[in-house]
Amino acid sequence: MRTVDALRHPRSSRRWVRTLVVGLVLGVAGLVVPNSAVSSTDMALVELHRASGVDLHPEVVWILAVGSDARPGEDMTRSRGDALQLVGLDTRTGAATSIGVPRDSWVDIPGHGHDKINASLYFGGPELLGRTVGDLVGIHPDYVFVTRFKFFQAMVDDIGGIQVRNPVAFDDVNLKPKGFRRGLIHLNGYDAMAFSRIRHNLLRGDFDRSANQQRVLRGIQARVRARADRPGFLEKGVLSVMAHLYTNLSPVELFRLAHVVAHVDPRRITGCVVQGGIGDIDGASVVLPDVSMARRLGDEARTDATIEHC
Amino acid sequence: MTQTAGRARRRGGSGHDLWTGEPRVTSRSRHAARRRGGRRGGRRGGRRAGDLGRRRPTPVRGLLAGVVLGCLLGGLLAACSSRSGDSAPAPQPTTSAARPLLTTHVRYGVVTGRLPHAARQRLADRVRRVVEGWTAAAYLDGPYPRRSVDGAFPGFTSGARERALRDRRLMSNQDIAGRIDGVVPRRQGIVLDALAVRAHAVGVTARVYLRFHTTGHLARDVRVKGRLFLTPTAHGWQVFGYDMTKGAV
Repeated sequence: MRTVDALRHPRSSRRWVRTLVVGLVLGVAGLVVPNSAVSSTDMALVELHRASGVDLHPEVVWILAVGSDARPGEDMTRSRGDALQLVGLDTRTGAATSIGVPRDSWVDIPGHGHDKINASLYFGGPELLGRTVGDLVGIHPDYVFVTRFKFFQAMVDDIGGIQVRNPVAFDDVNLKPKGFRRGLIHLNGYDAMAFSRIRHNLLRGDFDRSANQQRVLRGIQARVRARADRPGFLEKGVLSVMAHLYTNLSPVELFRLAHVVAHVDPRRITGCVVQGGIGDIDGASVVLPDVSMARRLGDEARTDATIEHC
Repeated sequence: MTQTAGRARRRGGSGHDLWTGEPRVTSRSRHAARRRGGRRGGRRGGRRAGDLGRRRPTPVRGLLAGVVLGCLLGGLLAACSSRSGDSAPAPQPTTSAARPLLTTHVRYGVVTGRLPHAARQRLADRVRRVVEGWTAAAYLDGPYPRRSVDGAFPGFTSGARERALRDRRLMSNQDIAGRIDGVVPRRQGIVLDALAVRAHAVGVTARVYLRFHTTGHLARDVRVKGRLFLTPTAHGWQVFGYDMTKGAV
């Protein structure tokens, strides 16, 4: 209203401008002139610098994250792994990377001959699965985390859901009939589970599903980082992990690891999926993994948890 | 001298200001204090809402007891003086190892998992000592001026110490140590967010607030604020990580 009046009346406009200029000068003077009459004790100009770091050994830690397809009543550490992600965290730089392994990858399982890689969880539990994935990528994980659908959902719900950037719309008659739209979407626990599991409507099946799992992991990390400074958030998260994950880590180690995850710099997150061809062995559809690619990714990420190119 | 304050609460407390540790007595805590203290008059007669289990003596008896005990102990040091919050002389700048006493307000924020009362007290005391050890070595203790702030990170794990050394301009007074001739501590507070498993503390996030004034060529108020992450180790509770800010106010 005042602006309109000022436009209509040039003299009023000049007065208004003068008033504004005087006000600005006084305001600036109040800020920059020491002991100025208009200085206020209610305001403080604070120059802040920030530093953060977390100590963990080894400095680059590798975790095999496994989503088990165990049904209710089944031992999730003796079922088949539905999702396999080898995650690296560099505690020095805040870099993180994830190497996705298609669950149907046909590989040599130590002591059991050739089979789908996810069968090694069934044969020998988390330790054998870690060894099998380690043989493929060339990096043996320091820790293996195993969870099941229901627990995974609960964990995502515990942190308030996540956001992912979905590159292509897709759905699934059973898991998500209404589907996931393209773009930035919010996923609750169930949605995150469905987003990680669906593959039939994806153009590149298992490979695209593995990439979606990495999007979910990013979403989880982003959520943890965003809320890490809320009192009790990480502590509660550790209890949730203890309740919903199989892990051989002590609570103290989990607490430290949670802080490492919270310190990951989102700008330094990379990820690739081990590619391969589709084959048929004994009537079963399998992925014939590109072993040289898997090794190259492992070599590139081993010391700094960073992959420049897939 | 240190003082633990703040009510040990299972969930986020509202008894004190988050960072400064100033008591904010709620009606709930007043009632609780009355019940515990058995006297009317809220904070005056009862136990302060924030105390971590230590029964505060009544003012007169407490003062007498304090003076007598202090004199007895002080005999070892061939000195005895009474000190109260109001009558204490204003802190003087630190130019040597003799630094004015600073009261550290400690209270619990969020405790996740069950942690018995006695364990909370022990934990608060141990973490307070670690935090005070760091703030004293890094910021408050002299002599000033000096070139470097060596040994500024007692109570840190070796890896955390290495990182903190890289950040020493912020994690200590390294940036200004050569341009000041003393430090006057103003306020220090710690809020503990603890994780307990099977009634044992396994991790603590210590929200730390420190404010001090520097004298000399660079006279200004400095505020250090942020979080220290601690876990029990073979060497006791140690800082394994940090997320701190520091700046002139």
